[in-house]
Amino acid sequence: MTYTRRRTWTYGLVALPAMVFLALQAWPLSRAAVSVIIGPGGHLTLAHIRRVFTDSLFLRGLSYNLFIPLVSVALEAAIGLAMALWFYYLRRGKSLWRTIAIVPFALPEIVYLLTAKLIFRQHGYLNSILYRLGGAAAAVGWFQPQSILSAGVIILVDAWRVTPVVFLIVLMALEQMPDSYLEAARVDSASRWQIICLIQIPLAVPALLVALALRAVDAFRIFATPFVLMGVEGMPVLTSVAYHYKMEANDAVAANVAALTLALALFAATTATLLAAGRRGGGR
Amino acid sequence: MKTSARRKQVRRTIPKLICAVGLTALCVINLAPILLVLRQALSPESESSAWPLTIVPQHISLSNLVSLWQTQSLLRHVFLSLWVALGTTFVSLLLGFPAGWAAARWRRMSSLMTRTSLLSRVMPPIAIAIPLTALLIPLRLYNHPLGLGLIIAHLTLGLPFVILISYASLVDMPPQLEEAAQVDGCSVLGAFWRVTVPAARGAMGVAFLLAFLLSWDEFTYALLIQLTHRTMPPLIYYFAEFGQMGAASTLATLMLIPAVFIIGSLQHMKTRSLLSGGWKG
Repeated sequence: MTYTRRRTWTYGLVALPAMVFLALQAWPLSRAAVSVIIGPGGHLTLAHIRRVFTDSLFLRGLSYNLFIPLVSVALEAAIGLAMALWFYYLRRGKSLWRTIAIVPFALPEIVYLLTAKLIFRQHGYLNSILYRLGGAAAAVGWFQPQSILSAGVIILVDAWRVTPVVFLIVLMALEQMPDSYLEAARVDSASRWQIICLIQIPLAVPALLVALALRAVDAFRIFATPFVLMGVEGMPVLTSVAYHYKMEANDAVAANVAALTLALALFAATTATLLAAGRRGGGR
Repeated sequence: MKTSARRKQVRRTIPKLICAVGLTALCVINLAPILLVLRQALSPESESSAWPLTIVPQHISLSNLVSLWQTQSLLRHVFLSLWVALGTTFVSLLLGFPAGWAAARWRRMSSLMTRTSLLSRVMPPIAIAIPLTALLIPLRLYNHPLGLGLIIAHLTLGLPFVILISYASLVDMPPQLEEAAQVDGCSVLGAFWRVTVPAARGAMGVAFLLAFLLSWDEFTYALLIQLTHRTMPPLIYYFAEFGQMGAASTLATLMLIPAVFIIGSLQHMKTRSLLSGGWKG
């Protein structure tokens, strides 16, 4: 065997177990897909899909699953960008403040959600403070099912946990920007706001887009936040609807329909993004 | 003249004031919730159902910890969580690090490998977990007392993660280092073992810590696969669901210990230079 061939063989062999494991993930997924389209008699059928797509819980989950991630990602973009610009101009103790800023993301998700529950639940800390300030009438039902307010709280809790990701990526982009750009603008007597709006923000957009693409995937798979804070019925999303079908209604096929709807949508979106990025990168 | 000077001074202090207020708010919003968890964990359960709640605890006691120890056999859950996280991490590194290396050295494999890893990180865990439970039941791995089924599930998260980290750190390592070892008589694998692995110890350490946290924090798979032999995150969820905030907070405090330790040590080490190993100044 020639040297190159031996090398190729080694690489292939060494990578094989991991590749096999990654490929094996297709097995449960394909089993799920088959269970969705095969009826009791072994024939192809759309009955399962039709059944789930007319279920009101699923439809509510679908609409929340579009609404919550979109608002959440928009909020993360706005807060993340603003915080990155603010931290860029901080003079003292930058690394300490940065550490404090990323605390919500560094916490285990369930611990973070427990704190949110301690604060926002009916007899929680926020209502206790409001009660002391304004009496019994001041307490607010933060997790009232089907209310705009509760959707707002869920979005805020979800966005606040992951904003540090957006913030860190954008801050890194701002810090890597050559100082000469800003100096040139200063020489031309641009004000600080002009520098921020006309130079720093436009140049940070690519990094922001990367961060948002990463975040969007997680945002659409949202599960624990609405599930832990409000339960399946209080604020359904596709993942928690699938959980409900499987664990509470004992209907694995319906659960697969709900979960695969989300998986297929994400898969298609990611493949399209990768292809578009590949094309723009000159076929690299 | 005097007024304009004063106006200038005011104009200078207002941004400073806003900045100070903002930083204070940031501290309160991000750190106060952790203090609330500690406060709830260290006071008797009766205080978590009092109304209105008091921010400052009335009594300090370890009664939550004691009752968890006596009624829930706390250690079993802690050890299961630790064992699953360590198992996932070791297998992920064992399979993922060589795979990431192969992808970094062999061009044709790199795009296949990174794209498969990316795609499998996109999958919602619940879409895999639901059919996976049906596969694990006949294998007797569903709700396994040693969490073997859960380790398999967590590998779908840990493995792509380790592959991507090792790929990213090894792709910048000059291949000349390995080639030099091969000229001196090493086989391809020998060069990997004697040169690449020692040089990439830092990157492997970072991958180890982050993959550990990935499994330690994981909620969805654990909720679906371990029905009675629970790891800590679903246990916290159930305690919170049944209003036992003291017990939930105690477990949460225990969960925080490795998380804080790992995040702290990652901040301490210069992560960037560790990832690129010793070959970049």
